[in-house]
Amino acid sequence: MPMQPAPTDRRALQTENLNVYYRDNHALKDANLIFARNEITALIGASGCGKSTFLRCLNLMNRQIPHCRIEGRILFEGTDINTADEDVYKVRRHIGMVFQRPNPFYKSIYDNIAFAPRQHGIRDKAELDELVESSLRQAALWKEVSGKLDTTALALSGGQQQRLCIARALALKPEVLLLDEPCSALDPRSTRYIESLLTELKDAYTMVIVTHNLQQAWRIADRTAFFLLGEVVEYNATTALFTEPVDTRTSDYLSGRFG
Amino acid sequence: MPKALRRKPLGKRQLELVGKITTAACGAVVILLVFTIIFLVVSRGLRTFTVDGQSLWAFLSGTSWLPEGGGIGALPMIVGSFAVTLLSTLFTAPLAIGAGIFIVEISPRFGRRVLQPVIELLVGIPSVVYGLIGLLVIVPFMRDTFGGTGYGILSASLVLMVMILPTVASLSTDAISSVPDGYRLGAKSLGATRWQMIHRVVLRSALPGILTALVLGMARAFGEALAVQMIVGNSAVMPTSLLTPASTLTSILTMGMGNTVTGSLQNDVLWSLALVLLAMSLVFILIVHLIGSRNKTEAAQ
Repeated sequence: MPMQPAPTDRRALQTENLNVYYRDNHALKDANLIFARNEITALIGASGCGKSTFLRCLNLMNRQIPHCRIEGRILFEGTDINTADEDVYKVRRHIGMVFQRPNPFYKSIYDNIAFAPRQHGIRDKAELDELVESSLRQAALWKEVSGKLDTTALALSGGQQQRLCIARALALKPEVLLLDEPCSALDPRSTRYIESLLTELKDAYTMVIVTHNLQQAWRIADRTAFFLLGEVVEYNATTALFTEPVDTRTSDYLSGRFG
Repeated sequence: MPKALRRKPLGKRQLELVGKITTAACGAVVILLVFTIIFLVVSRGLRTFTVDGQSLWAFLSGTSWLPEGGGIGALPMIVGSFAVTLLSTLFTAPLAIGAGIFIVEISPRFGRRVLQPVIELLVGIPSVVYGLIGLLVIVPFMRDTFGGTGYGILSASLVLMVMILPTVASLSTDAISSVPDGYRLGAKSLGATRWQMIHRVVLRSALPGILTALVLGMARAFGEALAVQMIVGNSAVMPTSLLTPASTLTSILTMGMGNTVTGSLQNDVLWSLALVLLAMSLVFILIVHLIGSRNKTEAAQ
């Protein structure tokens, strides 16, 4: 597999021979990927190629699925988290996730953000206030909602809801943010807004984003991995992968000949 | 199909019209029925005050119920009805919500295949059977445990608890399972444990539905007559304890209706009790609608 690995000193997250099986279905085959700190990595490929499955391995979200078997190593800050006695709650505190459909809880804007810190034991009101404000500021939502923190989050627009979900994940101060097609349910304007937000967040977080939108990968990702039928076909700096793909399957996909 | 009909099929427009008229007529009959019933109960129930000249206050706040002797105080029954309703709902709520959580969140396979059908079996059991079981099991148990006769509000509430369980449980299950899966994924991705997720996210979102389930259960408990009448003791005095014989609006109604002469004060007062029952069911339905519409505006804002 043509690979351009990230420098060793900047590895935030790495997988080694990661395989996923749903019963007999071999959904992910020997994925070896390295994600560099403070970079955005895009995972592209047709539906059902294993990229979402891969993403959900990284914060151990696949564990709850019955008959799902995950083999291989997932190294977070150098230690394997794909072990039976790993504390999944702790892992998810450090590796946040944003989903395809905005899923704010049936709570106020404030309580949506404060939910996770509270679950992890932060009770101090001033500290929570501070966290809520800083998370909303980071997600570029503070100005729009600062006056109505007590109103229901479901009243926000789709784009605002998705930024709220990003803020909610940031409230745990994670190192890594996993984004599963975060813009596919949004209109183009909200999409651009979120994209520029993600580019700004790069300074503080490592991000892995699954996207069907090739332009989006081109616009925001430093590196891009192309998945096909459960396999990582090619992984390289985004510019290189898009302009000089090594594998013909990659160039076929990028030029729209299949997938 | 007869040939005559086949030869002259109705035009689409006429067909539309026939459909519209038929369904509208059915709707009209339903509305007519409801309003006839309401009119009947209201007009009869008000006779106590308009024709017999009794005061509404004496009816609602009086504690002496002896229609033959002229006492028309309905407060003991009103209190009795509310007591059995609230108690039985209180007993049912944890069971029903717990069952709902188990069915949806903990073990859907066993829950949907075994627990849910078992709970639904309870719907099919006739009230009189519940009453008999209450007489045979609960009343002696209360008598042996707490002394006294065994009849009373507590015994009636326990029987009602089982009777309204299926309603509350299946509506709560629906409410919990209609919480979007995205909420569960979101909570888990934030490092919440399953219990934190259920407690803070799922139940919070299902709350309006669960409240609706409880209110509908209350409506059912409030209106249940036969089983309650068999166990509550039917003593029309102000209940001073949960363990002494008491009475409810429904139990006094079923006991007395056949023994009074239409048009007499004794009969009119019974209709007034029915009016109170009717008014309370309307209140329950109103509450359900309020919960529903509040929920809708919050979601649609």
